[in-house]
Amino acid sequence: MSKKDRNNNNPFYDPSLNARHRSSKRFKTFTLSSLIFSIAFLAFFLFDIISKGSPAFEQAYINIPVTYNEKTIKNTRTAIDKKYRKIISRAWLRGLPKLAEANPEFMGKTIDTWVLADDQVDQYLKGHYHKLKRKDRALIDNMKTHGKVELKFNEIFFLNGDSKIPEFAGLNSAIVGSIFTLLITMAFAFPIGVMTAIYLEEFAEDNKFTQIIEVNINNLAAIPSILFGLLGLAIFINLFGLPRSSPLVGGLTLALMTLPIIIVSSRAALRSVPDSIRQAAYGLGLTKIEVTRDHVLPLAFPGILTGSIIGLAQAMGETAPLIIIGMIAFIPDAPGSIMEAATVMPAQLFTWAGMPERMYIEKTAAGIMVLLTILISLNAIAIYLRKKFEVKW
Amino acid sequence: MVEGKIRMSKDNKVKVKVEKLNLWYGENHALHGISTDIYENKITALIGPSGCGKSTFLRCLNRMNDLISSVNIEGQIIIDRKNIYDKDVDEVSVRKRVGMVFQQPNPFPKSIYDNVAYAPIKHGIVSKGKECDELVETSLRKSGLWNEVKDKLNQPGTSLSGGQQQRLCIARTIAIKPEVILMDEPTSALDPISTEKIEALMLELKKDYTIIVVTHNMQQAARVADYTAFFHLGKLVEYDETETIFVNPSNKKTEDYITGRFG
Amino acid sequence: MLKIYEEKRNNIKDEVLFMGNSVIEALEISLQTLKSDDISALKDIDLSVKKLSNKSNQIDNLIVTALALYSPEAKDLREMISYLKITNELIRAAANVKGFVKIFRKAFSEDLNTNTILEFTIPLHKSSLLALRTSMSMIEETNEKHTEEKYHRVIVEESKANDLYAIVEKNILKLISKNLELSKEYFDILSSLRRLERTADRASSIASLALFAQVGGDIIQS
Repeated sequence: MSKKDRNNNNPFYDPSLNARHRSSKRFKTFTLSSLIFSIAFLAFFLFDIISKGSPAFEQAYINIPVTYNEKTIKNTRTAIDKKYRKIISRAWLRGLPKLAEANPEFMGKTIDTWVLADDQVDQYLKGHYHKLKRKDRALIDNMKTHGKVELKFNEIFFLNGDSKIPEFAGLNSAIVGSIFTLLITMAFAFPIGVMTAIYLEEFAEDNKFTQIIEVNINNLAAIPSILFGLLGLAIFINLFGLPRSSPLVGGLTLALMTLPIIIVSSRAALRSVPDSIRQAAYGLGLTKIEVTRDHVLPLAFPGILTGSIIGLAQAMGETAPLIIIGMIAFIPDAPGSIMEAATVMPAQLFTWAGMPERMYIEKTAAGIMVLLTILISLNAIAIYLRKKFEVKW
Repeated sequence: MVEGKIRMSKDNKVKVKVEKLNLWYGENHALHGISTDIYENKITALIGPSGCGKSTFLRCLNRMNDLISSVNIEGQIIIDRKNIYDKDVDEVSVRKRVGMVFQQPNPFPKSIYDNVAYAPIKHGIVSKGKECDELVETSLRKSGLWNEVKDKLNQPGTSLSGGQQQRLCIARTIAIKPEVILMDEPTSALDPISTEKIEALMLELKKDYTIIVVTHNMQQAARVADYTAFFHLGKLVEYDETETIFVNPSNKKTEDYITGRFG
Repeated sequence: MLKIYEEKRNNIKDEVLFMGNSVIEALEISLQTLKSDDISALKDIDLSVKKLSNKSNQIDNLIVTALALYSPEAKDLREMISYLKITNELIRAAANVKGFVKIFRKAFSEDLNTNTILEFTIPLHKSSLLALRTSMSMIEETNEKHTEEKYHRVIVEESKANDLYAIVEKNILKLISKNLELSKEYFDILSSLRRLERTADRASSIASLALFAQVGGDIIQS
């Protein structure tokens, strides 16, 4: 049977459909290529950051004899040989007295110690742009063959606060500052936001007034974040006189910003609870608080939690408002309380990005990686919690 | 004017007396001057085409319409010689005495035990512990569910089948020891076997409770109800013994509805 | 089956059986009188067609209510319809039995050839009684096979009754041709025996209705 005959016998053969199928295929191709484009962009970005940032997790150390005695503790420059002075970190030398105090048995001896190298040595060893003179380079190469130069894991990055000396700069103070700030944010935004949402959903009557409130809450979520910084400056710092650049002020400012997000997502979660539950509860003669607290809220809780964690993750990455209230000051030490000056991770990265030394480039990229990891983990926790508490209908 | 002559026997006590009940949803006049008597320990069915107001009327009997802000009510509903719409009547206490079962089974997402136990404990009917266990068992037995769930009282109420869930809702309602049970199309979401079980349950329950059931299934009203009220466009058209309504209705509209000419 | 429907159905069934038993009892007593040759005792038979009529109306109204309220289907529906028609059949059977009793008693006298008469009346009577009793027992029968057996038995008895009547008719016409002066009495006897035969016909109607209820098919009434 020829193809034509077969088609004539087939009542479902319809050539006019071909054009429609082709159009459908084209649509599929468009959407697929958009997806590939987005993924490519993302992949490129990640690749760039990771390749720039991963060297930061290693730092160069040099094994040289260090002399511990009273003279060298007073004048640390004399603790090491002159030829090494240019290639080791000045900051490390500053810590010599403390080291001698911690290890009294070192006194009067000359010990081979792994000393933190200068940032230029570190950059030379990593193959980046450096300013080492030929003499120093030769010295480093020679020592490398003798195994006296190594790249070790960079724990300074996580233990130290910011520093003007590149090899000594770390993310620690920013991490602590972020944690304090976000704790304040959540402590204010979560209860106020959830309670507001409960009032609006369960108690408020449906009239013009509440409609206006609803529209304005949605608008608040769209305001540029830097304006919240100005608001925080005017109210918290100028009016209330709270310490500038403290986690308290930063937290309060971010709380104002996060509040609309929490309110909106909590309302959506409350709304998603089927009305039949409330009807059944009222029908049994329960009061409003019994209905809301014991029946509606447990069901809405996963949604509320998810919304709050997403709000928190957003707040974590906010820089602009915190810049206005002064959190980009140079903060070498982690804050001890919520009233001391602090900085947050994005602000820290903003500062580092503006520093001239080459090493800060990789530190910034590494900081971005740390920040991204934390954000992704928070979102993953949100998804996990939502799945865990989801009640099957 | 409501047609139909009720053969009032001496032992028919009136449990709920409705007098000139009018209801508005905003501008929409939904119930027009309903007046009727509901008898104690009998099953009264409310039938009528969609949108005739029977569910609205039912929800007036336990003041559930108060939850809707656009509703305006005039008239009286008298239970035990007190108008439940008086200013000094707490609507929560009305719902304690007039329970409700809904069309879609809606057990709480708690355990089976907690579903039944929550409200009685809140109302102070029983205290936690043995007293409460007994109440839960009695209620589940009365609604014919005990044997099927006695070994899994801690499982969520939502893990049961549709018919079982509805029986759980009935158990939950009778646990607060109401006097009147309102049922809003209780079996329309269920399969025929579950429907049969629940109809048999209703016939059992009427010994202890006054039951008012809204149904759009006429045959169900014919099977279980002692009295039937026919609603049309917000008015009570005819109210009589079920036998009379289905064999020899007085009003032509009633007859047209029963014979399937409309609705 | 809904419990409340079952109660109503059982009530209706009991009433129908009560009607049937009234007729059967009357037949049993009359057979006894024929066997013991105490024909005058026939006057003691108390069968009020009026009372049975009232009962039949009562049952019919109960059936209408049950149909309206419970919408029975299939076997339940067939059962209800069969009861509805059986009450009519029973009224007619009762009228026939009453007619037999009345006319036979009046017409029977020693002037007639009682031997011949009784020789055929008693078997005819037996057949009618057996037919009616068997057909009424079908109402309570639950086993399909037994129902069909009983149905066939009723048919057999009915045709027996027909045959017996044909023979009696021939013989009595012979007797009439011999004793023309007693022709009225003989015709009356014949007329009464005809009523007995019709009772068997009613029984077979009842049997076919009961079979319809149990087994199905179409309603066939004779």
